[in-house]
Amino acid sequence: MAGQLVKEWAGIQQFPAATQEKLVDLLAKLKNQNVDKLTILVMGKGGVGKSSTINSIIGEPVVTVSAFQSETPRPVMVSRSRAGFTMNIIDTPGLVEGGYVNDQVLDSIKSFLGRFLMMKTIDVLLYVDRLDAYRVDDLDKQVVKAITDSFGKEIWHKAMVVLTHAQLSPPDALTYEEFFSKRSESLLKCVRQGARISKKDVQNFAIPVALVENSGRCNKNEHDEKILPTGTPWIPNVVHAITNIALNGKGGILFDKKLIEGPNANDRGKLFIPLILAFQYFFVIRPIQKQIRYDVARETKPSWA
Amino acid sequence: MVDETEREWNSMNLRNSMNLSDGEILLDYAQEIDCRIVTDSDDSAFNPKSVDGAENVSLESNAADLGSTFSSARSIIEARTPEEALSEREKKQLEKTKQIRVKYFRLLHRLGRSPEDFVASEVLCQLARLKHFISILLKKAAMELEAQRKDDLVIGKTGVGKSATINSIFGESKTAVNAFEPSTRVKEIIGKIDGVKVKVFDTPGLRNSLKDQPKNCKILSSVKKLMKKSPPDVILYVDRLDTQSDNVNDLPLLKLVTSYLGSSMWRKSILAFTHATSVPPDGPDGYPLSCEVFIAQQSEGVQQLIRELLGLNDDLMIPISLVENHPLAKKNENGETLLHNGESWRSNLLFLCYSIKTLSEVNIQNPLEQRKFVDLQIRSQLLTRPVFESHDWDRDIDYDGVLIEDKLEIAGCFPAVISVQLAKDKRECNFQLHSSFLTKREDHGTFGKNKKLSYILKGETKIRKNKAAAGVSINVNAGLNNKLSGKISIKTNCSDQLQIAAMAFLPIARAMFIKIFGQSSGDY
Repeated sequence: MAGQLVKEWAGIQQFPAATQEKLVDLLAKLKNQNVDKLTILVMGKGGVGKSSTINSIIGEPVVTVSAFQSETPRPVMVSRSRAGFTMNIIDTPGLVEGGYVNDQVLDSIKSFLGRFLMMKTIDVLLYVDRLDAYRVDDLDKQVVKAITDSFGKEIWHKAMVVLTHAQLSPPDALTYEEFFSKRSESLLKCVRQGARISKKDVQNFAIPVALVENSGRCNKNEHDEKILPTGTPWIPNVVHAITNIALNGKGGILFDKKLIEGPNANDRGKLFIPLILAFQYFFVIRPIQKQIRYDVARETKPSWA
Repeated sequence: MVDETEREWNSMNLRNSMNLSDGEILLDYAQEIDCRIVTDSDDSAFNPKSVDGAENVSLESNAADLGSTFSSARSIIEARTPEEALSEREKKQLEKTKQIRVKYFRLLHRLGRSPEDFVASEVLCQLARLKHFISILLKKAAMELEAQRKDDLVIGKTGVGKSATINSIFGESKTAVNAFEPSTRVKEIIGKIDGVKVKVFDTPGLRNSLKDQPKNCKILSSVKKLMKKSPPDVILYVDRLDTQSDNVNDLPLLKLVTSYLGSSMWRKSILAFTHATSVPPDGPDGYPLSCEVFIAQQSEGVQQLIRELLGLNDDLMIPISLVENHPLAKKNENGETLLHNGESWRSNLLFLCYSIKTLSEVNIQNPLEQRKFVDLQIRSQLLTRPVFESHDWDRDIDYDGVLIEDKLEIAGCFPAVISVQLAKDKRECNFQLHSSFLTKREDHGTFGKNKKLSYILKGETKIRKNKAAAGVSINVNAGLNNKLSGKISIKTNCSDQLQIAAMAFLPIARAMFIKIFGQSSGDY
């Protein structure tokens, strides 16, 4: 990987000037902290907008998106560099198929990461979902659980939630802020339950939530930046949240062999082996031997022997 | 495979181009009907006065033409068989059909639709066709003309907008709606729309995850009980238009619904897509898709799933209705919410509901069933085709093997299909024998219950890497009438360890043998 030439982040040019400035500032901040590489992993259910978000952030359509072809078939890594800073974003297929979490997809993601990221770290996890989905159900918990099982609970120190389709008009006469806070609250609760973060630990795992609107119809402000219904331009907002996580002091998830293969199944419960052997000897074998001896002693010889 | 999708797309486009003005996709039964019945009567003596006066009174001017052609068609029949010779029963049927037609015209009038409307003319064609099939026995007694009632059942996933749709249909807030809390139990909502008493059953939403299946089963079984108690006329299956990106995820849910509520439910159901005014997403060229294309593709996806479930390769077009419940959506001067094409969705939906109810009332036999029966007729051809397997997570379609099918006759009268499937790497080979026989009983006339399966015989042998697995299953269903039905089912199955399975069989056989023939030797 060292010898490969990474593409220049040309897409940043096509953002409006105000956005470009903010992005360049954020990259400079990262460089000041001696971070010159950032690896971002994007995961979530299918059809929520992972590929579109990546396209929006990079600024060019790098990952194919089709409204009906349902989703990215396999994980894809997109690398861009600018002024010495390299950003790798990994797009993944949706984890849900037909009502349950698709293990094949998880395995394909892990083997992909194993090939390209061996001994490297994942700095940020983007968990993507839609803002305009109204119910959080067991399926979301299972997705979160699958991510936690694959990468370990520590990944949630470096994770953020991204809500797509942010440009909506809220139902039930709620204001946008109310709707957003309710939705993010229910989703965060689901994430905490799925990752088994206890109530005491919640402060440690502060997971930020960012809003994203990827369609071409996104409203723009006077500087021609794409904005949310609240008026904030969302591209710098998301990148800002990403940089905050990257600089939050907790180490990234090191991707090594152990992580891919998972815990050795043979090690499980090794401690119990001597206990079980002892139990068998004292409570099963000895009584049976005693009983056999007893039977042999009691045997009456038949008269014809 | 590509041809099939192209063909479907073409036929769908054709329908779309016909219906762009209506914004709906139609009942497909009409294609089976010979509507020439109506035109045949043109040369007959045109005498509107011979008909019941009530019909002419409630018609508009163009409706009058159509109505009078019907009446003249009827007058032909009456001319052929003099009035006195018509049996009591046939007279009652004619009366009944007439009443149904009158009711339908009245409904049309109230909704402000002309009978020349596509759907309306299909329905009326069907009603006209009935007159030529006087031999069909109608089971129901005389219907009341004034007390028009309609029962609806609304089901769908959770959070799609079922309760909101019900509120919109009634025009007022009849049931609580909450963006974040699901509604928890089956509610019966009664109201009057345009003078017609409508009863709607709102159900809690179905969940998508596998773990929640027991909850789904509970919900569906309570819905089933409700359906038995008061069978609905129309079933609304509600889903969102804008989140349908991966249809495969819905298949288990649809399967569950079909298994609980019966596959005949789809014949009186309407697919309702909420959030219908949501803006379509961007297409591959970066520009937003047109609304018609978007709607057509989303709805076709669900239709295909249902078709697969019912095992019908032919077109089954479930009528589609678009719904928009957002309070801020565009409205017309009557206060009705409009769709993208400027139409009021509410009257469309009500119209579809009434049409379905009218059709079901006259117990039209579904021509789809006839098609299935025809398929089983013996055609002696050997069919060879490649088998494609698509890996969903990969989105690749792999050539997986060869399938050879042959149809033949068993015992001279039962149709059977033998198929052999050989995998590409020659490691797996499947032999299958499938034979089934359907009878149709035409004397019951209840909607969708005419099919009685007489027997199915299935044999299957799988050989994989030199190991064999076999299975035989015999099902015999004998349906006597709607209530009594017998079922015999024999299933045997062996797996890889054929010897072990066979060994298990021996003690059982021995025990049976001893029991039957008694013990020959004394006790030890």
